[in-house]
Amino acid sequence: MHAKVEEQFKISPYLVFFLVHSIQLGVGILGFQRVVAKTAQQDAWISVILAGASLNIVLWLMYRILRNKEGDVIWIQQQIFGKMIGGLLGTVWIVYFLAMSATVLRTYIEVVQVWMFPKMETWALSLAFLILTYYCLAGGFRVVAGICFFGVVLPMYLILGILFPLEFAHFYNLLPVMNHSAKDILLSAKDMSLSYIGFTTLFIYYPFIKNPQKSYKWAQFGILFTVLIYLMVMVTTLVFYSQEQLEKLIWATLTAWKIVQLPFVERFEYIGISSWAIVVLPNICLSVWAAGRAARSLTKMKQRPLTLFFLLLIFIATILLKGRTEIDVLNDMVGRVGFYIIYGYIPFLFIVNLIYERVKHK
Amino acid sequence: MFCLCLSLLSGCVQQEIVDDINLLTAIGYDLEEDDKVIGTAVVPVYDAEGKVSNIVYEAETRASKELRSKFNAESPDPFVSGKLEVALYSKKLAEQKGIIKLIDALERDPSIGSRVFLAVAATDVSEMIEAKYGDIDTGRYLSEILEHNSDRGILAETNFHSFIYSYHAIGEDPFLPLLVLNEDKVKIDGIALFKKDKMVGKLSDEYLFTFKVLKQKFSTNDVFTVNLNDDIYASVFNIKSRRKFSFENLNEVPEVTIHFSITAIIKEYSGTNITPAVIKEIEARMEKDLKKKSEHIISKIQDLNADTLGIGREVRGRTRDKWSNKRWDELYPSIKIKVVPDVKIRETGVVE
Repeated sequence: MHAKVEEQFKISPYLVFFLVHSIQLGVGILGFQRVVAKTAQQDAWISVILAGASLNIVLWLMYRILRNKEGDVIWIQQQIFGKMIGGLLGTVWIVYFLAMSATVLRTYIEVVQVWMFPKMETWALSLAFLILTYYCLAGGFRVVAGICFFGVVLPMYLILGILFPLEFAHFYNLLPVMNHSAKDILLSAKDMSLSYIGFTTLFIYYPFIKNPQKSYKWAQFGILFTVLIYLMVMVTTLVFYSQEQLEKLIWATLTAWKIVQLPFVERFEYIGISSWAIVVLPNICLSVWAAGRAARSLTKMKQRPLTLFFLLLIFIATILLKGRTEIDVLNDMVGRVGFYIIYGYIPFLFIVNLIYERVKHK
Repeated sequence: MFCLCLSLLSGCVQQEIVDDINLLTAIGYDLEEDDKVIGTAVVPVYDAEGKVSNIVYEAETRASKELRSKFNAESPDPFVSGKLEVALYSKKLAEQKGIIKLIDALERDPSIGSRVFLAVAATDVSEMIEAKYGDIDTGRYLSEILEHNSDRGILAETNFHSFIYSYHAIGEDPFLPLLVLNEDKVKIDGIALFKKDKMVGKLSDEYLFTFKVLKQKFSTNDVFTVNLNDDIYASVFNIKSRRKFSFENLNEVPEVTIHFSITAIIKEYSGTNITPAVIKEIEARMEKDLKKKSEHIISKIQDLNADTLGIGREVRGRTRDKWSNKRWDELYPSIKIKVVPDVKIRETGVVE
């Protein structure tokens, strides 16, 4: 009934660190500050930590749901809810993963268009990217995991770019600490959680991990690392910009990079944006792979034609989206759905699964 | 597959080759009658021998980006603003119209760097841009004057980012350097004080050093001279300065004390011997001088109701209540601001 993953297609548990971290760190980090700092202002860094901390619990729930199971979430849902509802829920996951990859790709193309090549056509970059994605996906999940590894390790030097703006830091911007109500800080934490989503792909690639429960600590480390980077960027942003200035900036991280001046390069943001392609690629690869794999579990069709079909869908979606407002709406929508999945559906699934396991044991 | 990507990616964007574009390095804005703005731009042209000549373009407009198309109409190559070094605003424009509308175009344009210098020109802007400063690109010349003086000299740190920062900051007003054209040289003539985006007053160049002391922490190689009496004077250099605020009565009418401590080395002394007593006197004189100048600066900015030193922002950081801009605006001109200087001479040079 359920296809077991062969041993040679599995990955080592420590790679989960890169899988979890790389998909969390996408295009969001280029401009999440404005949204998060809107309500909590100088206390936004607290929201970053709070939202990050809540993920630890979600991750624990996910591992608890997946424990002792041999399939992915699609299979689990069908076991628990039956063919019909389970299948429907599976479709939701697929659409969600596809929307996620389309959002990431289109937002990245927008950044390239606004910052580097205003005359670049959307379809050209989109096509190039998707062909590359297919090339990676053709190698199977182990290649995707490898891409995620490089997507984290190679652009590491960009962290230095976060430190340059500190030359103009005004640390008093962080004062007064905690003068916002708990409600404001939580509202900002909610906005922040939108940047953290994406690691739910774990539900799909879980059966591909050797000794999956051993990967738990690596997944936690991955999330911790993400939180640290977001925190660093957030604090730098808060001390670099004044509040009203930040409110106007769509890509605060990129604008901050404009201050970087190196003897051999006039503008750092061009290096940053180009390097970001390496960060975006694993993002798209992993979510398209997850969509393809989920569809395969659901329909028992071959994964390759499914993937091709999905890539075509993403390609069309990226071309159809035009301009800032539409991209913003999409980002917002995907974020919102992700939010409800993480904080609504996963706890729900956890409880149902608990009951299901009890009943089955008797 | 990689080759395919390469062949797909190249050639789909219009190329811009350095030789075939006009790299704008400095731009100046002046106000004409009936609200028209005159833009003057300068483009360096490098010839084969490495010599630089500057070509100046002038156009009249309302929107600053429209200038570019007007420049384009009279130029053989298209204009590109990615290499902009300096933007100058005439005193008249800064005083009457405010400059934020013109700055908005720079802020929105991703190709403009954050380290571009902004300055107010006290003399005619187009003359300053048209003037020949020798075998150097004009934009570079202007930006270098501002750059070394703000990095190591007596001009308080200033660039595009810091202007925008203070403009948007709550409880702080921006400032810009004030430039004058003196025959064939440009000189920093003081500080243009802003209230929001309008210039409301100026500090003359003798206050530059004191202003920097009040504004930020720094170290400089520039020299500060103290007169001990009519014919004895001392110069100190290698100055390190730190500044600290302290507040009393924060929740009603705050009383501010600005402490600054300066350490320096004696470079020149016209008297005979430097004794500890002389050092004490130099220190005391410097303290007195700085205090006097600081008080002048502070009373001036308070009269103009321009919070150039960012005292409002400091107060805001120390109070937990909701901040009210309006209340601060009313309060600021009347608050008490004290200055407590502390000067220490560390060394007396290599001779005794």
